[in-house]
Amino acid sequence: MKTFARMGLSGVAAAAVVAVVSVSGANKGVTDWPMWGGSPDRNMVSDAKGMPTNWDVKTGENIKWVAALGSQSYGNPVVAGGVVLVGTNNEAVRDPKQEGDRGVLMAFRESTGEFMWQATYPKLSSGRANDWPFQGIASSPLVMGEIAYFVSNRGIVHAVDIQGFHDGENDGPKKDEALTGPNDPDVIWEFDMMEEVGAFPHNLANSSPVFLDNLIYVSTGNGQDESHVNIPSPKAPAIIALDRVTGELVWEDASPGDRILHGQWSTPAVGTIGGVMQVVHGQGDGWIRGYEAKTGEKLWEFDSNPKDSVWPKTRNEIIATPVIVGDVVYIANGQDPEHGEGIGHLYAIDATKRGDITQSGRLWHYDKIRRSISTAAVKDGIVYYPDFSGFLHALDAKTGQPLWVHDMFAAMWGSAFVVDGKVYLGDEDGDVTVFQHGRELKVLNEVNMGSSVYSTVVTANGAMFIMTRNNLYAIAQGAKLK
Amino acid sequence: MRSKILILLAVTMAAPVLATSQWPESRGPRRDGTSTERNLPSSWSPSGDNLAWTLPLGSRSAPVVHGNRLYVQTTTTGDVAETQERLVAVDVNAGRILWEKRISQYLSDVPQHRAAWSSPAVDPATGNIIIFTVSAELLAFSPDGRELWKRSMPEEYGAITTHGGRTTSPIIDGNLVILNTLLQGWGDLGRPGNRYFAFDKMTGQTVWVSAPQQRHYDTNYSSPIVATIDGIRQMIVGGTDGAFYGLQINTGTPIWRMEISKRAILNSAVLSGTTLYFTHGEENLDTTEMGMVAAVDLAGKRGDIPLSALKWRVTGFLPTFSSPVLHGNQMIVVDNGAIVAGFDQATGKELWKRTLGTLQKGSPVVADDKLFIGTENGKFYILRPSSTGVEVLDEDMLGVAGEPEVIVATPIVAGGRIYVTSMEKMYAIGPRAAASAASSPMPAGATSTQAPTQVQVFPYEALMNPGDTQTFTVRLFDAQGTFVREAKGNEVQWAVDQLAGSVDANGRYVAPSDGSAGYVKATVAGVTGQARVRVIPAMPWSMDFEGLKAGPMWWISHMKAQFREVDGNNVMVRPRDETVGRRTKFLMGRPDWSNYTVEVDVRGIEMRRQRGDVGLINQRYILMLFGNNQKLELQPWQAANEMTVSVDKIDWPVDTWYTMKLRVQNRDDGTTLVQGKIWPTAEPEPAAWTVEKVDRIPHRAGAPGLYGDGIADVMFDNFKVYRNQ
Repeated sequence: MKTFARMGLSGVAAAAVVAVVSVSGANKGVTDWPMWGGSPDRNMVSDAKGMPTNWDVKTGENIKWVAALGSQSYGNPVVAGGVVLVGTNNEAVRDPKQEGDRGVLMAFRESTGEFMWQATYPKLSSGRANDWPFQGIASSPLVMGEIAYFVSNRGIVHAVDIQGFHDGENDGPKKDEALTGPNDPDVIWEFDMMEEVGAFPHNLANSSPVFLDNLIYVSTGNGQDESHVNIPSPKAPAIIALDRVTGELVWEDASPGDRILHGQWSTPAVGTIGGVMQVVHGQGDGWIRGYEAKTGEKLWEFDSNPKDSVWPKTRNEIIATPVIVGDVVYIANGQDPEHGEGIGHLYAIDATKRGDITQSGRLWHYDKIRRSISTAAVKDGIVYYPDFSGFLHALDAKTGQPLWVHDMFAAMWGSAFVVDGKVYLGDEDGDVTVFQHGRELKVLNEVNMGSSVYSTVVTANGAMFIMTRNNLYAIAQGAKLK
Repeated sequence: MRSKILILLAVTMAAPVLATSQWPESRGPRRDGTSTERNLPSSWSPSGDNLAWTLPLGSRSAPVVHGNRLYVQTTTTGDVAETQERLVAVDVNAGRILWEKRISQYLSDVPQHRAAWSSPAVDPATGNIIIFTVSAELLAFSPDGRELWKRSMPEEYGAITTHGGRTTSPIIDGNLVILNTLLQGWGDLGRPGNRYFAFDKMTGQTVWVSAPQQRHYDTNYSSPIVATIDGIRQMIVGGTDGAFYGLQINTGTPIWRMEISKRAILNSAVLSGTTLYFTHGEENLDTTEMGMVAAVDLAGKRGDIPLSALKWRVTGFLPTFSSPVLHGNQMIVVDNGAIVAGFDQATGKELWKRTLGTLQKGSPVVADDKLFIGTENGKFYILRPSSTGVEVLDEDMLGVAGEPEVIVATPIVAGGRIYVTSMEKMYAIGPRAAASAASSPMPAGATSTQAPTQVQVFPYEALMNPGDTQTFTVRLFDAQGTFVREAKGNEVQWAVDQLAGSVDANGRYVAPSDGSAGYVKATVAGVTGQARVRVIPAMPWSMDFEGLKAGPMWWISHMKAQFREVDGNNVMVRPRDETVGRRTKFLMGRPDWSNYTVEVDVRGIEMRRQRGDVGLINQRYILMLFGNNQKLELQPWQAANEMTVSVDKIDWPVDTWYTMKLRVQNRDDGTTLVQGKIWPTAEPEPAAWTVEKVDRIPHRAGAPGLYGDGIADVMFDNFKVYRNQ
């Protein structure tokens, strides 16, 4: 990355791309879906129209194509520049020279589902404390122009060409890649968070990058060691900002210090709040923090746990991504799915406040939710929030009053997704339920995908993408897969 | 002494038969999750219908029942700063606790809320109870709660217990107690990995250790089943490497192996005739669909069994935690999402399925044509399975609305009742007077007239003081692992290997005057067997490590010790370590030592903002100095933070020698006084202790040792162990 700076490249070329991805996300999901949540505010809504409410993975009805993934896939699809990128594991070995358990970023041609290229990363030798077996890459990439940014299972932030070497070009500054075949990744730069800032990712570094102008933001995943009572690297930051052109560290913050309860798997969001560009991040001590995006100055912090709560029974960590709508941040807390069920807390936070805003910034608190790792969808004054116990909660966004609750009878890992007047939600039993968007509960359909749906639906260019544990489906009205 | 051993040997050969009207082990009287009992309740309610009693004995592990006694392994309730595991004996008729034994946990990464993971095993012959704690301590109690013997697997074998808590439930077969554990020990057990152990159930002495696995991914808790196939008495167990194994029950010798997954097998299998029905919920070898429900005929199988030998398999159904059960022509399985399904035993065809909840850990149980299932969501079901589905006879949510009682334990059936254990309570469902059940007598053991091809030296392991003697005996087995006879004294050739001291023609070994470890070997007609011997030097110790190039073999984890010249001194180093073994305990003494002091000099450097941590171990307490956090902790049970005494803002500058000292003294009032201090080595020792704890749930004995966390290089020098002055 230092080479890159010396080459005299500036952010100018890349900055032109920024306009394409607007922070507010108007017409979101109509064309590309370039990041987790589709826009930096991470709100799980799309402006697309005409998505099917019925499809069949067995008969191929309304299925455009299907692509085989590994055995577990947690890197939610993004779509940009005619390429679909997902994070998965290496159980569907596509290159016999790259065998064994690895994190894999796979690229498919958006129009056909044709496999284009992959980036694979062997597991860390330090084992599951840092890199849990078979979890693959759980970062959903950020695509800006021709470059995708993501975090691998090795705790490295990677910038790669979305065409890989499929375009026959080796884009730099990094040009000494070991693998340069047509199915291999064309690396631009890499930032090793374990080496550079001492991060000790707990179980897996999974952050999905978000950006503002020339900066990208990621969580380091810093957390406990395998003893689960020790934070081995308390000086490592929870969140970092990198120059997306040079890959150099711009700012960092280590507010949780040694108070991290477990790991840090929440991914940051960006938005204009009270006229200030903020990065909002759920951190490992159960607090949500807001930073001035350019400088990293900490503006506010909010404790998501009641003061008398006790880890792990009643005190929670934050795995959900914050969602920014206007000046309000919506987020629930929860725990590692391995910990099972328990009580949860969902908040609407006024992020224009400053300092410790646990009291002053609390617009409402909903405590009927169970532990959740899902991210909010907010549309027309309704907040849709799934929990890990299998309930979808629809709440009034202003008051937090429940409008309806639906029992899916299966755990939810992904998020509800609002598009074209409907709400789509997948569950662990592989069912995708389609609801009427509105203040009254109405189930329109339920479609079984044949394998767990841990992902969140995305839309792009007239198609809907749903990832199961081991397959990626492109779904479009009128399509028929033979 | 010798005649006593012979009596025990005779019992070893007994073929096991478990009474069918009891539930003496985790998987039941036939180790298949079923009972032959009839007239079991079809309905009940937590508020009292058909409920004999409840007791506040919540646990994540199932109880066992023997006669009119119920035994459950659980934790103490109340203050988590004083959590212990406990074995509780209950009079099943009165619903009254008869006695309990409390066991302090030590040197373990398992936290309080995952303690008491495994179930006890009751010996049908004696009524003795065997338990295996989350600290990997194995203990035997008499029916009146007297401790008979115990084995400290961490201190004797380097057992490693991890945060997940997975702990196997021991089984008792004939005279053997069988279990497995992850370890990093000494000598041929020096490499980290999962091993199988058989102990003499009367004395706790090791009979055999088996290491069939090449790879070691995970920890697990696949409780073995025992059967005779092709005339070979064998245990069938899932490994931590994703393979099922058949091991000769008397010798641990592998018979066959079938790899079915890339992760550990947590489930127990079930056998019908020679067909093994088994499940897993993790990665498969040849498809991206996870999970497997399958059957294989084991008749005639030896060595590696390929997947192509399967009678059938179903993938995409994920029962990671819940073991299968057979009923009629069905195999009934519950997946991780609490979906129960019935599969045709002959073809694997899914006959029916039904959603019971969203999370599942416990296994289904079948008795009286009813299916009993408790979900992690807190619901307990009584179901009647048929060829097309299940009829819900009864469905009860335990606990109050919004706060269900999580059910992790498998229900059990005994004495006309069903016992359901949630994390909060135990429910005895059924008549107020439980049907009584008698113990079954131990049948005679099988012997072979074949030529012996296996030599077993007993005891398989001896932990000795300098100058002590140990007499070994030799048992001969045929190729199938069936007992042939005791070896006669004059046909055995004895030798020592890598071990100081000597062994005479009668198998009598005399330990040397200093520390040593190695093997005593016995050869009979060209076949050799061995026992492991570890001799611990007497206190006081003063080790400056000069001249050492490798860790002495009598240290647990000796392979992890490295030595380096620093400022003209040879010091012990835990260099920056990027492997799973980064945190290493070097346990060096006897588990029965008490009332002593340990000292060591420590030093560390910083690499990538990180510094390693160092610890001093005395009598199961660790005095831990954190390089990154610059704090000192006194830890009775590392994972139990609430027990730790922490002193913040300790100065331990980079690359500077500091001295640590830890003194432990048992007191007459039953408490133990633990005192630690640190100071710059270049300065005189301060009079005051830096940290102190009076432990009311004390460790009364334990081995001395060192702990190193090589996230960055840490060094040790001048290790001393001496009796308290």
